[in-house]
Amino acid sequence: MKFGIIAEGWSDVAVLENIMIGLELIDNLEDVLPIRPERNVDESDLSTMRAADFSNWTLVKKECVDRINIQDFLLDGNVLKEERKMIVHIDTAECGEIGYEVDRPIKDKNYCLGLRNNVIEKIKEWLDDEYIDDMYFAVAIEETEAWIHALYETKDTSKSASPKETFRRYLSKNKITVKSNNAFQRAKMLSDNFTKINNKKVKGCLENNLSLKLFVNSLPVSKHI
Amino acid sequence: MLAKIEIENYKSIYMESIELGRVNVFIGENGCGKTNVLEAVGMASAASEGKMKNDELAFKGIRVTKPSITFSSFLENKTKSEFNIICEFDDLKENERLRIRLSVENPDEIISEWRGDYIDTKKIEKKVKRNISKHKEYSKYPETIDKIFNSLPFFSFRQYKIFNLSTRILRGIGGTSFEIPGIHGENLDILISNFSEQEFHKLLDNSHFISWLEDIVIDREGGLRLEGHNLNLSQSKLYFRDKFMEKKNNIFSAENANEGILHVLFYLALFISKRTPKFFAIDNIETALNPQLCRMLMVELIKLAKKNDKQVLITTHNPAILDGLNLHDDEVRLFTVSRNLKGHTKVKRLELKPDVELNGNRMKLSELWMRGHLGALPHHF
Repeated sequence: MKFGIIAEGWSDVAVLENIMIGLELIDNLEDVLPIRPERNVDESDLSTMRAADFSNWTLVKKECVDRINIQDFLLDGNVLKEERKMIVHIDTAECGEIGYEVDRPIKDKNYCLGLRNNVIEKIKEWLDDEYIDDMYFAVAIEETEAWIHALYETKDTSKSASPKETFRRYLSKNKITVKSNNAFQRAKMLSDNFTKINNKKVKGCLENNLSLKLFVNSLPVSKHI
Repeated sequence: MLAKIEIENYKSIYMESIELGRVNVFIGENGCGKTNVLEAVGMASAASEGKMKNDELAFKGIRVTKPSITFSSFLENKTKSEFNIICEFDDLKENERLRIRLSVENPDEIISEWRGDYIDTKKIEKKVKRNISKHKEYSKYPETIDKIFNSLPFFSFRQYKIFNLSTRILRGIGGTSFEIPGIHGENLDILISNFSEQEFHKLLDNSHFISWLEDIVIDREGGLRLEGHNLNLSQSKLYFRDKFMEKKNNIFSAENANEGILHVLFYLALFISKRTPKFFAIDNIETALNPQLCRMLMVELIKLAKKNDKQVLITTHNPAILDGLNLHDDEVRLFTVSRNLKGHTKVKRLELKPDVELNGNRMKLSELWMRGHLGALPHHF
């Protein structure tokens, strides 16, 4: 199976890849095609793009509303004898912003599930309900860093309002360093244990973050790749 | 024809099985193992004629190194000191597969002798031929029987070589092979000069997409060199006539020609000639060629391969090569080569869905590749 990925940024792609490897949905990176962040741009275009053009929930929304690249992956470019599915990733940290506009449920035990469902409904609205049967939704509450953090600490990492900052402090406090300044490589290395998610010990991390668990459970079961 | 090859423990190929067609194109990022696939076939070919010395392997275009590097070496597996190759030919029965197991006594020795558990097909054929020649019929029709022998799959399999052209050598400078043609493009002029009239016309006809080319000239007497058409190092007697130049001044040498014509001419000659191998590989076919020329060349080469019964393995990094392939034709096959998460080379045939038409609003294969739909691209940078 080949997976197309629409994600806010490259670090999110790295985490999603590691999860798919762990679940044995892929054993070769050939089976993943990152559609957003855009790689079909040349250096001339890149020179005119702003930092915000590279990693942002608005880009995810644009992809879902335009559906040009989604059609490209699921229809026009889907010419080979292989099955194709798509993963749409988004953080909820900015879900109150104009244009995103997803209501946050009351912060009780159903908060994560409720917010994830609301965001998925919003994405389906952006998609005009097209292609949804071929999609999996990776909704990270509030940021993907909360998912990575779940690999390191046995506590509910979805409760942090600012997981990126919380995780950064955790790494600093525990003197965990990564030898790369590249966002993709850093996330790839920090979330490497997701590649062993079938291992009982690592699987326990799913209990530390409900949005992670819901995403993982929504994915298809590997049929011997 | 070689219909299937199974390779185990050769360089980056841990274990892989490939079902081949007549024209087989391999794409993949640098270092994925494309050339290793071509070489594994070369090792099997060399073993099938019992020619496993380093210079004999190099002669076939195999990059020779010490055996410990020739065997697969991966973090998670213990290195085995042998590799296996099984070849299936479509005109032989299943039990007539060629099984080759190659090993050395000490893999770390730089100079080691390969020892093999393989069939020396040459010996078998000699034996059969000897028996046949005792019959009365042989003396009546020796040429016919030789022809039959030369059409046996093992015969063409043994001829296998990996061509990897060098423009400098095509120009007639610095060649190191006496072969006609050599694997880097040596002796193209001699190959063409020995063409029959029919082959020569075919060569000119098939060069129609070289817009400026009026004629190909072989300077047998060396007069053109003496007239100053070739004042440099080139030993080549190959010249071209340009249709746009003044008639009395329209000849120039291979050394002065553009790179593209030399590469195109070499490939056409390779596919047209009856003297060139029936089974061979071309590494990086796109070198020096304009994208549109890549496409046109592939169309011509496929036609010639079918007509002249050639089988070829081709690697490329140029998407335009793919636009010359008709993947609805089972004889034409496209493969992606990649390294999986363990670093093993994996080869996957790309087959179109039956209802796909790559025209109109559909993307061309070159676009599909560049947009990531086929794989065979570096990841994430």
